[in-house]
Amino acid sequence: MSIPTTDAEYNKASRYLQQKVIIYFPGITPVVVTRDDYLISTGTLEEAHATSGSIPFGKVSSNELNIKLSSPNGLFAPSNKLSPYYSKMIRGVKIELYTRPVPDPIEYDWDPMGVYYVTTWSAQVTGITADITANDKLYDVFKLSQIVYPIKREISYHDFYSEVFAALGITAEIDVLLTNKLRYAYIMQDNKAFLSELGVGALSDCYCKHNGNIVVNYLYKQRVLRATITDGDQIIDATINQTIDMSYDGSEVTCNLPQESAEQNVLSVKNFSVSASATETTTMLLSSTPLIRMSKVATTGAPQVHVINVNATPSEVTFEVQNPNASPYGINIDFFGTIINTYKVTYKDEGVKLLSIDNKYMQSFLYASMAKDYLHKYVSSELPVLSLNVRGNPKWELGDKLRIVSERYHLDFTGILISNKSTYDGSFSSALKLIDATLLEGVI
Amino acid sequence: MQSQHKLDGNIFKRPSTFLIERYKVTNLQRLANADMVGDLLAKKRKFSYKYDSIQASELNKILDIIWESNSLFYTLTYIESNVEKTAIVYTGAIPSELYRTGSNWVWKGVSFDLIEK
Repeated sequence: MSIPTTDAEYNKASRYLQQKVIIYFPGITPVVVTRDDYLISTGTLEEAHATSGSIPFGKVSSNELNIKLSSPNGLFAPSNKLSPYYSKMIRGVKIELYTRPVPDPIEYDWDPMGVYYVTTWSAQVTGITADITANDKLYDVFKLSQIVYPIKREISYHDFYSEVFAALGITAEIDVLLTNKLRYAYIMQDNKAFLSELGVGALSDCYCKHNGNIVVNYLYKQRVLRATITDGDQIIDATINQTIDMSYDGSEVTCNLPQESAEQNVLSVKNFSVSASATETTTMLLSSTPLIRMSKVATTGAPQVHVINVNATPSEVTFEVQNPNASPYGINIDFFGTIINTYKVTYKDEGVKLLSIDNKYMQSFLYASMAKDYLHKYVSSELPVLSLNVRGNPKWELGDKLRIVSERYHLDFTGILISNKSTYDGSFSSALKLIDATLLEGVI
Repeated sequence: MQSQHKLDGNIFKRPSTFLIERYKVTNLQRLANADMVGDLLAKKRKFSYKYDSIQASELNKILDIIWESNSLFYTLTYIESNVEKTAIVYTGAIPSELYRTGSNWVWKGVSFDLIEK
């Protein structure tokens, strides 16, 4: 009978930790790998938002797992036909990672550290090791086709996220605080760009938790303190990490207020050629977007040639052209409809170089002013992000609120965990990045 | 008295000197307050064998396993305080100094370490 671990187990001066990797090869019983057989090392990189770019929230990235396995006789070499896993070491294989103290004598539950899917698997038949890279569920979301979503009015960020993930066939944990409403919700980008822009507009981070679920976490909320770590249990060293260009001296956030336009030409097709006695089907990108609704279609240049079965999305139109004539014709087709026009309102500081957001999903004065206030504090703070090297705790999740108390570094810093890079090679350690909690909690 | 040392199940000559060293492999490091902490990675043993002199036939029994074979790891069985124990081991250098030739060659100063995998 095993029992749950506590932080105390991972704060002990003397630890004896083990990891297991469960590999779900297709068609066979899952393979459990530990250091008692083939596991050499693992590394994980979890980020609440992509750290490339200057905006300190919203932009999505998938978490990554790297595994090094011993591969005796090419056991884990994808090209080794003698391996029992031959033809199974492929992209998309599910992998789960767990950590716990070695039973001595108390047996603890395994602490999950994420669910990943293989993206690369490399090993030489003659080599003695295999290297696996895997990413979480978001990686595949980014690769899926752009979501087709009808324009909706007055829908909350929560419901917009819910419908988007439902359309992708994914259950996600959406923050119930995301009640603010979009005037118009629509999608015009690939999934990664869309989720990144929506994240910024919704003042939220979107990432995967250790249980494998996608979570959307609203930034501006009071959080319960998850743990306090000190010089005496976890901290190895700390550095002040000014992650943004120090030359920013203010912030600028542009709110995009969408309104429905008057009827207008959204696509003009000249000399569309149709064979004799034929029906041609085609899809074209609209010249004016995003389309709210198509109102009419006008044709000129050919008798008895008609446009039928018109289906439009916010960005493109699919239609059929029917030509009953005995000879080919070219016709001109004009599509009319209403689109979303945006009116911009900008909140900005006086300054020479401003950290800027201009986001189509930031559609309320409230969110724009909150974002502007946050960015202003962020660029003005002496320590917006703290970087720490610690012994690590696999129970910590992105978004956790941690207090760092260090006499050595003269720190009493409370931050939100935004990046956790952990390694295991028999010993366990982590490099953390925390964003100052007062920047987020002070603007509610 | 028969030797109680076996490699892969093969009895070999009782050494003149038998030394066991025990190690805790750790990542001991100091925290920010200078307290020492660490993760235990493993417990490992090192077995040192030394023969003041050994006949070639006895030495060859050992070398057949740890030198002539292409395997890197062997199962060592030995008696420790009246308890039979085993370890999967690999070997380091195997120096030997010729003492006498003739019909019965004898080597002296033969020593080797068997290190737990």
